Amino acid sequence: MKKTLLTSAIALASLASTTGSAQAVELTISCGAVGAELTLCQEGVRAWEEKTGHSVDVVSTPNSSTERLSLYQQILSANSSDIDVMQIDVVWPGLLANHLFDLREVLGDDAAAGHFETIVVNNPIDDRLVAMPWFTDAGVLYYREDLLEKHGHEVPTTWQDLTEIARDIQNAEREAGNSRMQGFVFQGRAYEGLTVNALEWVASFGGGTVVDNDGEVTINNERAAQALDLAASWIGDISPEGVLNYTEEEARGVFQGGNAVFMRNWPYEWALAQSDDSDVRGKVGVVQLPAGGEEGQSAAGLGGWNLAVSRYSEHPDIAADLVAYLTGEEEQKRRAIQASYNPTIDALYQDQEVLEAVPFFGTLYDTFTNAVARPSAPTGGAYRRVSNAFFSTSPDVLSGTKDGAQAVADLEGELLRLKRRNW
Amino acid sequence: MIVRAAVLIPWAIPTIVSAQMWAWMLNDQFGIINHLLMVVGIIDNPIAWTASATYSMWAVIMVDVWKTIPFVALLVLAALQMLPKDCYEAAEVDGIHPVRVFFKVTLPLITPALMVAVIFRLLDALRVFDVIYVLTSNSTSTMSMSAYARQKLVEFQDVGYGSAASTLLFLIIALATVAYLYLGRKQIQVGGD
Repeated sequence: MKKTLLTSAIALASLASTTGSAQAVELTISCGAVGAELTLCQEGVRAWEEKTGHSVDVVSTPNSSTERLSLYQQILSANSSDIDVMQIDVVWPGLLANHLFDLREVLGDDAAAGHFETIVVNNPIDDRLVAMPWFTDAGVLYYREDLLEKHGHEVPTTWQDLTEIARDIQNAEREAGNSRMQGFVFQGRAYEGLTVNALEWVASFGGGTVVDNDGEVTINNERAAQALDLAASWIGDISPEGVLNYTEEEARGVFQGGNAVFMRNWPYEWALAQSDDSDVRGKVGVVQLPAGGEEGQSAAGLGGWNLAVSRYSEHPDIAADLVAYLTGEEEQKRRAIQASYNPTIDALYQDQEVLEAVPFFGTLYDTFTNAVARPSAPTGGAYRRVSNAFFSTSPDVLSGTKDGAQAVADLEGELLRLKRRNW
Repeated sequence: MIVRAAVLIPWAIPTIVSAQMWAWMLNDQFGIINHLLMVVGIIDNPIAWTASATYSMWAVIMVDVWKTIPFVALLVLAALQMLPKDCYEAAEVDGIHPVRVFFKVTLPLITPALMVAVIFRLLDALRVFDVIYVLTSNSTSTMSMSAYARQKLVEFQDVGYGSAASTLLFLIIALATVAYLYLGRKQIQVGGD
């Protein structure tokens, strides 16, 4: 057995030599470490190693995407070859494009065929394909089926409903002795995650997307203020004050420990909530996020991660092959079934095995394809400042130091100032 | 001896580690600080120490104070061990009250060491970064000057603006130091009369 493996490895290695390198090379890939991400990445990488005979070092990155981007920017602006393959956010290709390798050179022009059009459109910058979609993300609402049933409530369709139901169940559960029960948890720390959460509130009330596609600042409107005011009313009522320092994993900790009725999070939490050591196994449902009132609509923030190859990599062609493998159908299917990471390949949403493992991939298909993108395209290089202004203003409203109307007016002023200089 | 070594522990642990430790202890859902306060009955509901705008600055200050007390204590201890015995013998012969001895003899004698300790702490406090970054991240309610410079430099990739902010930070610290030394010297002269 070992011998055959070895010979096949040699055979593959010699095959690889046709693409330019004579021996097995060492690559480095950076993967996120949120939830089961790191393990999944290591498994995928190991399969590729066995197939090709190359070896890959997996490094983990900070959980907060804001910090992750800072790390990448530092590595890339030093022209460092330390990391060959990087896991990058959907909003980053524009920021990092100059440092990334054009994957078309190795993978061909139709490398991204079959992937979601909306995501791929984001990736070719100046006609270069700088990243391949790995998984997509859209905010979804997790709820405790057992608690809703016990207290006789329907699944909420508006944020106002959610507020009422969460308060009702939370107070009833607290009276029944579970003093740690919370109504709703989300990502409230001042970082990129709050930008997505707040954008979902604002967009679901029909308040726009902070900056519209033409680059106009649209945040200063009544509906946006109303959305932020409603969110502010949650703090200390249905959400703990500590939510202002929660990222995805802190929120998951509370929900998965059985101490929250509702949670806004990404789809990855599904597989973890259904795992053996979860306190809420079998008691969780997933629906689209509520709408902002009767005339509002549900808005899920578009997330998701791509794989890109650094231009400073010593073996960009082999690294591109790793990217092609990891973003390929087989690997995406494995990730979807094992850990509920959304595939970016359309066909997988009709795959029976995938739908069996993660039923809501079928029911929420429209949510995933119509998710609301953050304003990274119109603001270009200034996106980080825009996002920062947004996620720094939101906590002021949430903690009650400003009301919604005041906050959106201030934010508009700040964004207009940024706009004059940057886009 | 062991006690003296134990006092050094907060100072010896890397700040990142101790700050993360405090972040867990101060957590609103499972933190031990809230648990203890609730058991004792001081508070009814857990306080979000690192999240609430009202408490986050105090939480940061508390952790920083906890961390740097050993440093100041050691400097003062060194000064106290070098005090000349004769002053105290003279005071005893004259029958001076110990409290008066402390203010009139001990304190003036250890003032130079205290000044050094305070100036180190002043510099540290002005350029504080790691405690805040771990405990409250980007929150504007606890942003220090270093965190501001870092944000411009690293996050926004605005090298010019960030460098200007860092330089200004350096100037502010330098000015504060000069002012402090100048005032301190005056104080000693006045006190010496």
